[in-house]
Amino acid sequence: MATIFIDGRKIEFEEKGKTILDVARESGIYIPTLCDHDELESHGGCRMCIVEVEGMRGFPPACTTAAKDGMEVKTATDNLMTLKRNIMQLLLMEHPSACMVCAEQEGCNKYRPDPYKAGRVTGCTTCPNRYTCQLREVVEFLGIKDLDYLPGYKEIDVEREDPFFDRDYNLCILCARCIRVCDDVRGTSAITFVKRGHETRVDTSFGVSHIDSGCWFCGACIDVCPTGSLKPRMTKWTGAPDSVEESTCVLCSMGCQTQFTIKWERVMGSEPGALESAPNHGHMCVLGRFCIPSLVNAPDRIKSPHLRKEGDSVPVSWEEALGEVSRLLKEASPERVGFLGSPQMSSESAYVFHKLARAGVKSPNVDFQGSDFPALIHKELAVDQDFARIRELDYLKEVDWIISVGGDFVKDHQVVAKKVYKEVRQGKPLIVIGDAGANLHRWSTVHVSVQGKDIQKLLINLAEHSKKIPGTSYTQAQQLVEITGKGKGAVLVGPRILESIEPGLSLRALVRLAGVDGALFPLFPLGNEAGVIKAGLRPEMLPGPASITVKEAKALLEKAWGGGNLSDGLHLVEMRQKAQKGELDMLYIADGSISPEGFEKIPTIIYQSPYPSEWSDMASVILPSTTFVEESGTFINLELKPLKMKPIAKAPGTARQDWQIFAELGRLIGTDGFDHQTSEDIWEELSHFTRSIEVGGQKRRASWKPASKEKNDWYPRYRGAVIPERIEDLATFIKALPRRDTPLSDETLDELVKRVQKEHASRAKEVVS
Amino acid sequence: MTESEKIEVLVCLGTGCESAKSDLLYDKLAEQVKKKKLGDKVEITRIGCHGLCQQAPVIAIEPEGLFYCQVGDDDIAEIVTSHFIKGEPVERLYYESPEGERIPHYKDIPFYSKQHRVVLKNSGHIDPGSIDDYLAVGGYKGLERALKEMSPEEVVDEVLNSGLRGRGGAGFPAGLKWKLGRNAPGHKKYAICNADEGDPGAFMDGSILVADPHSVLEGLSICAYAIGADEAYVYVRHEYPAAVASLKKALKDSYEREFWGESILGSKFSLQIHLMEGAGAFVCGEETALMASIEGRRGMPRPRPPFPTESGLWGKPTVINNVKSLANASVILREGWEWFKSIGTEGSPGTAIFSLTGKVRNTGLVEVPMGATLRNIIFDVGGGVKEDRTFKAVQTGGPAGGCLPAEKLDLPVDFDSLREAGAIMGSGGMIVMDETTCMVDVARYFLSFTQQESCGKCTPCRMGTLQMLRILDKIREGRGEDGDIEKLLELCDTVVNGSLCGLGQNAPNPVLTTIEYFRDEYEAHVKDNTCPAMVCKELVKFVIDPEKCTACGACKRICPTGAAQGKKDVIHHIQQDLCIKCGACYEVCPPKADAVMKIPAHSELAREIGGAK
Repeated sequence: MATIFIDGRKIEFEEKGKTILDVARESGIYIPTLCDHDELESHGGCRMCIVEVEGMRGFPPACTTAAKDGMEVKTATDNLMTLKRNIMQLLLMEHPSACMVCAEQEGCNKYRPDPYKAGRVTGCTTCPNRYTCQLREVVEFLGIKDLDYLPGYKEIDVEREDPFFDRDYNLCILCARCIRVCDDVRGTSAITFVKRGHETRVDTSFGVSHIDSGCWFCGACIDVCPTGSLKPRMTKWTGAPDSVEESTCVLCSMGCQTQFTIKWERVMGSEPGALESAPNHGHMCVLGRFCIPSLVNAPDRIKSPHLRKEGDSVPVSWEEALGEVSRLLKEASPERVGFLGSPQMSSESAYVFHKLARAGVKSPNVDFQGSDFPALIHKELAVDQDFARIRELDYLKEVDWIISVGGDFVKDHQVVAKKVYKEVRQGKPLIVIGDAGANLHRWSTVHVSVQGKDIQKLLINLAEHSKKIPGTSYTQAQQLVEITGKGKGAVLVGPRILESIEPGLSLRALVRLAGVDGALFPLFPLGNEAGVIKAGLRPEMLPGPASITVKEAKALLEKAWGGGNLSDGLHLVEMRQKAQKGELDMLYIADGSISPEGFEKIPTIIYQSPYPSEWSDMASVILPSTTFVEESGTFINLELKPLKMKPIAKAPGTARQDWQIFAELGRLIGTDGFDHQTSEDIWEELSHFTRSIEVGGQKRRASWKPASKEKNDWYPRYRGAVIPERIEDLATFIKALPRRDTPLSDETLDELVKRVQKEHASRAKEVVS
Repeated sequence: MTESEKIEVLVCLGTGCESAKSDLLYDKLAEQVKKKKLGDKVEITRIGCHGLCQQAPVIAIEPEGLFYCQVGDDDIAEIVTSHFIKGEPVERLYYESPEGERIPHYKDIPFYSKQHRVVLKNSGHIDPGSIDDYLAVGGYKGLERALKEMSPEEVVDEVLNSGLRGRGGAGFPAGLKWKLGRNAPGHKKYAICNADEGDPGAFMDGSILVADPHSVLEGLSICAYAIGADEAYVYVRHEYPAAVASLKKALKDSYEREFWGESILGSKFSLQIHLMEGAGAFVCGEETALMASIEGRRGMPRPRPPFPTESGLWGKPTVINNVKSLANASVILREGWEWFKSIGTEGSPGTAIFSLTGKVRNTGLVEVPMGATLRNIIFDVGGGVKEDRTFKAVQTGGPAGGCLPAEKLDLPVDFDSLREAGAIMGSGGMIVMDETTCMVDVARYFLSFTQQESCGKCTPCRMGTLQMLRILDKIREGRGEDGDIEKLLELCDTVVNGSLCGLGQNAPNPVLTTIEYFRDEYEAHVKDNTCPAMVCKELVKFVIDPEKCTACGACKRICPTGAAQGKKDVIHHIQQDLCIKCGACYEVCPPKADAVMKIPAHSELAREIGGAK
């Protein structure tokens, strides 16, 4: 323990790498800061944290000066406060600051609670950041009541051309937090300082658009900005929220803890949760950060149940609609009914849906879109009971190397990318197999661009530490063997692993390669795949998940459900085939994202979703359900960690939670065991079933289909709502991705320099002649 | 004809001479020599800066040591026929002293005779492109001695004992820096030569790199050996194409002779040297910004500690030395620390190199022992103020230095006394000012430079310098108010104490020193709305004295706006509302008449004269 004196207070602390600022904060001493941020390395630019240290020359900043034993620090001498006030005055020269020193401030805050929407922000009353401004806090702390220097307005046009957020650099105080988070934390380096002197500002290199600069619109820059310079365009002017609620985003399998700002019982904005809250630790992706309000507040959400009467779909009461559905289900021949759930439902909903199918209707035909990949993961890990390999993402810290196969997580799992980059930045080797976008390519130590069947051979050989690796040069192969040969690895595997001939073998090779203490992170693309698999929503699976061939599991379920059809049924592809042949009478579909192609001949379709889709036109009955911000339930993320979803907003019309609808139907059909009152009850029931997968029991079921390339391209959907089709900015962004990922030329830097020099020389010659 | 009788013609290709077209002189000389078939009698060599830039372009003739000044195109033929063929030197091209005396040998010219050249010893005497020339004058003997006879610790001690202080400006003991680098834990270390000379009016480092690049590379290798670095960088500013070319050639030659690379001179010591060109930011001369720039990031300083010797380039211990420090190091290793210590003062041994510019008679590159007074440099070496005007001030240390008045002329020049007087040694710029210089204007000029070159990272430097500039502009334009000077001083305090790096911490120096030593001049601007030096445009006006005007029409012809009016035989006058104060009339009015006058803008006299037609 070392001792330090701050403003006369004796403080004991662990000397290891702590700054004066760290020690002061730990002991509750406030030192104002602007450029400092918990997640970023010290910068030392704003000079607000300067202190006096006995025996040190000048005024060192507390944020960069290491705390040492016996130090005597003063944080608020008259000298320092004058200096800080003077520096702050200078800072206010370049920030519209009239309101900060206005005598009417108090009244204004009271009677004009929301910022006035204005073309140009001229003071706090017209600033979208009015309630979270850190600059104002420091100004108040320093007690600045008057401005010594005329404030200038930088006269920079507000940048509105790029998707999602506005940039008003007239408010910028150049703390560089955005630059540092983009560069050091997210690994994107889209923005930097440009120009010098007082003209210095934040911009992309050469002033290109953010789209062209490689920005991923993750919003991290906005989240760290202490001023109102960076604001999401959609939610900029909504003012102070009524409340802020934390819940889980389900738009990919990360399960980001998200802070939703609520106003008028609606979601007005979404920001990442606190830095401490796992798994995303204060970070998000473009979908969670910018797309949720537009998505859940969509005006075309289904608001009431509909029945098709004389060809027209007309709104009816829930009573009527559910009465009709229960009648249809009761009358149908169970083998000729299909049940298609959604990976974007809660685990509880998927479970009750499954129960409704097998126990209520006695049909084994249950599946959901994209179930092959999570099923593969579960089945293959069952071979050697390797489920412990799926760990928390923070385990990336512990491994010695990282390998990515079957997907570009920079694109579809931006928060995973952030965590990987943290390790890459510290020099941990990253191997990328298969296609990779620009960022992944840049971060990788070795990138092997092989396709399809070669992936399998590569992985199997690599797992045996053989240097005969298809698609690689000799040095590359050597490098691969050297990196993977020692220590433990982390495997990031995406759904394109299904493209290899025997995905199971590829996956097992990866597991072997990572080693006993290694980690596997399955990058489920759609959301709650793990949760829906937990509910067993596959024809050959039971809740747990368990295999239908496992007698004990079957017996347990029979006891719990009081019977039901627990045999093998049709999966999605088979249902489509049967439908085409006219051998399927009815389809209960709860995911509009599934293509209706091939299902046209089915006479009765029950469509349940928050969003209309092509299925709405085909459906006999439409049942409106809620989105993830309106329902309670459990989401299981790619770490297989259960995360809770909370109903924080009001659903439009009479929309009900999925599990409520399924449970009601169960009751109407007359089956026991559907009297769940809350989602907790269901979770409790589901938790009784444990994982029990029979090895090799599903050989017949190996129907992994190499999905076409387009299908795997990142085009996010949510239960029938195609998000880019609803949010133009997202479409613009996604459209630009292929262009960004294509290198401009194959020229190396040396070649480029040579070429430019040559061009210059020939131009010079022309001038001379 | 023996070798010794061969005439060696040294054509200076330093920046000053080159801009005076000395490269054409070289070509012409070569052509003439070839034409007259003097090839085996005359040898023409390109040299780096010879020093006396005022007389550019210059040619030195060895071995006699004759010196031709301001050689023109047309003089070449005469030099060749008269000097080379007939053996009669062209006397009219000799240096002319202020007294009108022609001095044939450069060593007799006071500019040279009053200097003490240690680092510049080779500059202007050897062909910088020839490693053999450098070896012939004892080059790489220092490195050889270090590698073959000394342990790295002994080399560190040698430099430590010599008392050499960093020539980049701050004067930190070089030996101590090396020792810190040597003792820093870790296997990977870097040595860096800081050749990012960016001060306006300074050209010492650039000249040394052009004239004697090997001395710097030798010093860099010695430094790397001493601290245990196996990689070194030369960070040179891109705007010095000649220095870059010279370094490239020198690096190639010295690599071939094994002065760097694997197993240098058969020893176990290996060193890789990289050449890195800066991208034109002044702040990259600051060591932490320089390293950021090498790492490929924006050149912005970071707070110290940690100092580069603990955590420098890519987080590894790094020693950064200025060009002159390294050149000194090679001399120290060659001649021994006792010899070095005998030059200069106790606290600042060795010599000081200045690029002497401004209103001084002999501008050029000057090397004097530390402890020489400003008077020695400006009057003895520099020949005093141009056109016999009165000396007013001297600015040392580049844009972040200070202005010292005539009272300080006897101040000995070394790191400590300059700092005490409010100026800094800096990397060696020295600008002389005379009575026609307005100190407010000068302060504004330097501040505008630092203001523009601020990297923008910390607020006091970014915004404080801007605010100071605004106040100075206000004063210069006659809009100064009571309290402005005090506000300036307070801002200076904020910027000095609040800034992150040396650029900001020293940026107010010109303002601080001019206020300290020339406060009356500021007050004249603020209180009387007059610029005593008649420089600040808004505070002067041009009038024609009707008594003196000869109606020659010169002013009318040159006036760009038609403000100077008059007819033949009619006394001219200047219509003030048209005048843009360009001063052309003032320059052009014949000395005989001397009718155009610069007077304070609000002066009563002016109205009378202006009114009289």
